[in-house]
Amino acid sequence: MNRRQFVAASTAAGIAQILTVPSTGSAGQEVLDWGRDFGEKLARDSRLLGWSTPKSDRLDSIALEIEGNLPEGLRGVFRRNGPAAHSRHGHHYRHWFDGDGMIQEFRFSDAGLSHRGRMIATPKIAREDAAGSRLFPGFATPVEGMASVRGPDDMNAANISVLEHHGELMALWEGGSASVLERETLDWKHFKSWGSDLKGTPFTAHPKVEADGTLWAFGYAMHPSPVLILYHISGSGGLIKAAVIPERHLGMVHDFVITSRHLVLVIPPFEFDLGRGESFLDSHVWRPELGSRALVVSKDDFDDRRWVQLPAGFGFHHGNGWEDSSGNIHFDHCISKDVSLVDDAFRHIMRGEFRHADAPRYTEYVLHADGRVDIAESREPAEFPQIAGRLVGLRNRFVYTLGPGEGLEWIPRTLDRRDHRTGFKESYDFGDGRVPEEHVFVPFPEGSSEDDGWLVGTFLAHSQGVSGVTVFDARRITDGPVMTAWLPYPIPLGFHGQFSST
Amino acid sequence: MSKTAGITAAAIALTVSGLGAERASAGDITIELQGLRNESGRVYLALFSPDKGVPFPEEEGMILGGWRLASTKTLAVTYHGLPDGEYAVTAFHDENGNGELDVNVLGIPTEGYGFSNDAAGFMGPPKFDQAAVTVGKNAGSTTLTMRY
Repeated sequence: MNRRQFVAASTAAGIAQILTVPSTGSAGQEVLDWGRDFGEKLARDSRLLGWSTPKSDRLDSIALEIEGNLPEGLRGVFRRNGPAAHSRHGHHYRHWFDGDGMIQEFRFSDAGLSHRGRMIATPKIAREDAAGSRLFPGFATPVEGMASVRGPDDMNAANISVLEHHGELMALWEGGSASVLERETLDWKHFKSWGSDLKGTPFTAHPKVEADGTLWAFGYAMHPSPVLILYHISGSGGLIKAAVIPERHLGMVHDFVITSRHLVLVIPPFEFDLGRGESFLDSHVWRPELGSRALVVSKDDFDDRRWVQLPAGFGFHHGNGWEDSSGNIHFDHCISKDVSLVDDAFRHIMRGEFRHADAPRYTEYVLHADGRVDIAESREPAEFPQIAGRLVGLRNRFVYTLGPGEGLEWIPRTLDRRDHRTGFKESYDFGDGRVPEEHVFVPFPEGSSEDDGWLVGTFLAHSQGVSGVTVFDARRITDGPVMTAWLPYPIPLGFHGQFSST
Repeated sequence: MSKTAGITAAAIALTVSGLGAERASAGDITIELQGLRNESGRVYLALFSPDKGVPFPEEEGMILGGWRLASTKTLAVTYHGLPDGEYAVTAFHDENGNGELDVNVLGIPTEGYGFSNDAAGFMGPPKFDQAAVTVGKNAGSTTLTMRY
């Protein structure tokens, strides 16, 4: 079926043939209701394709239909990850972040652009498939008659990002280990262990890789008591050092920044309180009176740490951090005033309800060496910030984000280019019926300026019932994509990706 | 060293007697231990009674300990001559032979372990009652599957 035929078939009935409509099965009544509600609303609102489960664990397209030209010099593999198995074994998860991860891989070659999608066969999903039912709790969905859980990796959904480092391909979660994947087949191989006493320890979905391959990462664990874990890994994949930092007031922390000399983690006052709720998310309590805090750690010595008090806020993503010659630390953060997005909107979307929530705003921080803090908050919602990768931890001029259209502020519609030097923002509007996803920066092979590169990402054209890939010239995003490629099917909205050039 | 499985190398010195796979009779507990993923190292076992009044499986509650070479992937072990009562068994697979249940920096075991009745907890050990085996008029028996 080509795209146009597909579009014609993408009535509600057509969609139902492509995607699994949540079945009811023997799960609890609430699960049954959520799955039924989602299915009913999906038939009327094509936006919900973004949270639907692909009908197959394997998707393949040998040659995508391309508009424009596949840029010469843009060769390699673009891989993305995100929750996909939202509904399985008659069970419907009740939060966007619960669904098991699926790798979407796009291969850019002289022959064109191909796609394959593979559900990641983690031990979790393998055991559940063998049992024919959900066994393990998700991020926010408890499971009736849950199996025993030895440690976080029993629940590892591997559904947030991907990382290729020193030749190893990994799918990243944040509650447990990275998963090493077989490059040829995308089969799950094993959990990554960075050292014998780090086996099974949580590893962020947002590690920072410097130009020489040096990798900095963190993890957070709430059992048996709250701790932060810091990792310093060489370009050849060996552990240089790690630290475990007990911290009683630990909140959900998804991303961090590095500078030339420091790691900075912003800890929101969204505290874990064991026994408070039935799921990981439900065990958290929002305590804005405590404010947020930034932990500043020396790269040279993880014992050299200081805390900086910040106003309360909850953010997922940073674009970048850097440090000036006076030792002042600059970073950005896409930050909301509360947790309504993760605690409300991202739950109810799984029963087909689009709810308003306080969307993250692009916010710039300066932590002065003398202890002062400057904060510049823009009024504009922004998410999925990206920069030229070689500038991680160094001063960047440009950051590329997604912005909303009219209506719900947490649903992206534009790709934005922010220029710190001029303060200007340029946007490309994907238009009605299309939702862009994160666009990563891929440098031109012979580029020299910071923005000499492409922005490569996916989008969901829900009104047409398909997904696609766009490539922009990072210098001129307002010109629109230089290439748009069309998949013959929709893929669920995901989170993060990486382009590995060849 | 974690208290999670309640087994320490020091406690192993208590006894290695009483281990055997002989015919069971009253006053015995037989453990069918299965699921060893390889034949490396040793399998440490410990028998617990609730009478000592400490939370299970803290090592102070252990009344017998011992080890077997992990020479086969299944083992049958019998404890003899136990007074009537409730008991629980823990085991771990010391694959690297260092005499310890290795754990990561969070205290989560990184070697295989298991409990009698295949009892299991959520991010921790099960309750004693879940793992309890009764010895009385009849011999007790239980299955213990190693989890890695």
